[in-house]
Amino acid sequence: MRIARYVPYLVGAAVAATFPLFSGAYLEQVAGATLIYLTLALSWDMLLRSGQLGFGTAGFFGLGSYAAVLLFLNVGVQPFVSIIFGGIVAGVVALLLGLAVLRLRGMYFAITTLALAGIFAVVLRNFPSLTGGAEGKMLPSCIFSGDTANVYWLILVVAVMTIVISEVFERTRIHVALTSIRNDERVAKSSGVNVFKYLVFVFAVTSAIQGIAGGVYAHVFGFVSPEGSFSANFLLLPLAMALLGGIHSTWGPVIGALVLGALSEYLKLQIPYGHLLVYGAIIVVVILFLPQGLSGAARAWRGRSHAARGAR
Amino acid sequence: MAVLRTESLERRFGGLVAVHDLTFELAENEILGIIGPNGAGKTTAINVISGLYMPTTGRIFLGEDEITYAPPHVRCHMGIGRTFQLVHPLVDLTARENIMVGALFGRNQRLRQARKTAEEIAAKLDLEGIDRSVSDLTVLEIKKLEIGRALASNPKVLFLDEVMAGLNSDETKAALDAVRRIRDQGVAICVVEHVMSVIRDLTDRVVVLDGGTIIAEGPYSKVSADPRVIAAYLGEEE
Repeated sequence: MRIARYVPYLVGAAVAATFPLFSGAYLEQVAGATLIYLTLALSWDMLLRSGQLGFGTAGFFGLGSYAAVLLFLNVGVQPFVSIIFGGIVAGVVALLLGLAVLRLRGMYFAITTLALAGIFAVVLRNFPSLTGGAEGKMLPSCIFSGDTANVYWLILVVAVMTIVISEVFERTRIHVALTSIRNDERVAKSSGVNVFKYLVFVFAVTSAIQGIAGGVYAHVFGFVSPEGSFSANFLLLPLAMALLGGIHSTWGPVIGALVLGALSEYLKLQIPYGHLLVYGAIIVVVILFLPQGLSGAARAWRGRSHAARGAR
Repeated sequence: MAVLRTESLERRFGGLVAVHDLTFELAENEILGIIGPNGAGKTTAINVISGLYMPTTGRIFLGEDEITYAPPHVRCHMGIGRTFQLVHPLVDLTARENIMVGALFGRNQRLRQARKTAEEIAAKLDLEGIDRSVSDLTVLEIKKLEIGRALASNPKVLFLDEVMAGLNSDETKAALDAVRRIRDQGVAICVVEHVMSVIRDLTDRVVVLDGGTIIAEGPYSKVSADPRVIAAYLGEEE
């Protein structure tokens, strides 16, 4: 019984690790893109667990992309080093901005972080000698020379790392701190929680994850540009994924990302550009009918069947 | 030696003076009652002392240490615990985790230790089934949870803001016993309460607030006979 609980996780891990052995380049690319979005969805949710609705996902993703590419081109470090550098830059910028911005709450915080992507893009566009301006920068070659299996494994490592961090958040005192802040900030403060410290910490960590995802993405596709790297897709799609799967948990956003990642690829083939409408429709339907997302609905369904069995 | 001392505390909200010239002491092992009509400034006084509002002027001392401008979480670390008038259980945490917040962050315990602390405190408060979700708790249980969370941070001073409100007489009796037991363990307690029988039975001393300022102070028997107190509650004759 005990072991049976872990079977789905083990099967999932085995499939994820060996995926390139039984799929082609096309599926590897789709899976890689899905896992990038999974990373963004999960990191967005990790901040949301503190009650802060952050819209800075695309901003820190793009910032990480640029930081990784510029370090790689100008200093000539290993791609991996530049990817980690992208994460550090995004994390440090979030830390400094957080000291100011995290005095805001609710919609004020959300709107301010929403503006970040635009601000970063404008700033980068205006230093053309370093950043390539409006055209952006091209890499001479993509990471692993574009080998899709290796690219997939690299992204998988980043996604697994994010899942591990998320589980650390869920299983340590961080979980109690963030949930208490979300439920009632005054109670949290009066019970000794250093609210500001925890918010700045989570904002910096989740932004660093988004920066690393951005660095990987830039190395996979071989370029950065103000429009492409800061695209609203890097905010809206992860948000839809987390909402679909269920917020405030690790597995909700993961499930949402896998479902929507596969679905969106299928829809793209069936109705080019129409898939954007479907994202919107999914967000509306989920908020109206499945406020706890797929994982919440599954929990409720399991709870009901347990209760029914108990009654018999 | 006073555990807690305030000097001429004042708190204004724009033109409104919510608390004015509030000077009082809380002795070790004392249960002090704060009473007064609605809008007298009782809850504001607690909010200023626990750090949710900064005072406009005046000073606050916890033992020897001045805490006038310390942030609320630091005051909690130093030994001020409180409950809230409108109970605010942390709904996405279990009852145990609610109590653990105080132990983890007020007392800086590790997770395993805090789990045990929560059990011990729940046992002291006769709160059973602490792994339940907060939504399954009764009103009395939620009040106990609120006290438990405050206790878990190991306070020297505990402010109870209307914890008896909404309890029936049996429940009130149980809550009174719980509060006395907490005092017996060396916690100075300050209760804000509208139920006069609670103030009469529980407190060693009473401070009466009206219009943000102290109008009477002393044992319940004395202040309840004070004409200024009666006037504040019932209104003065023209």
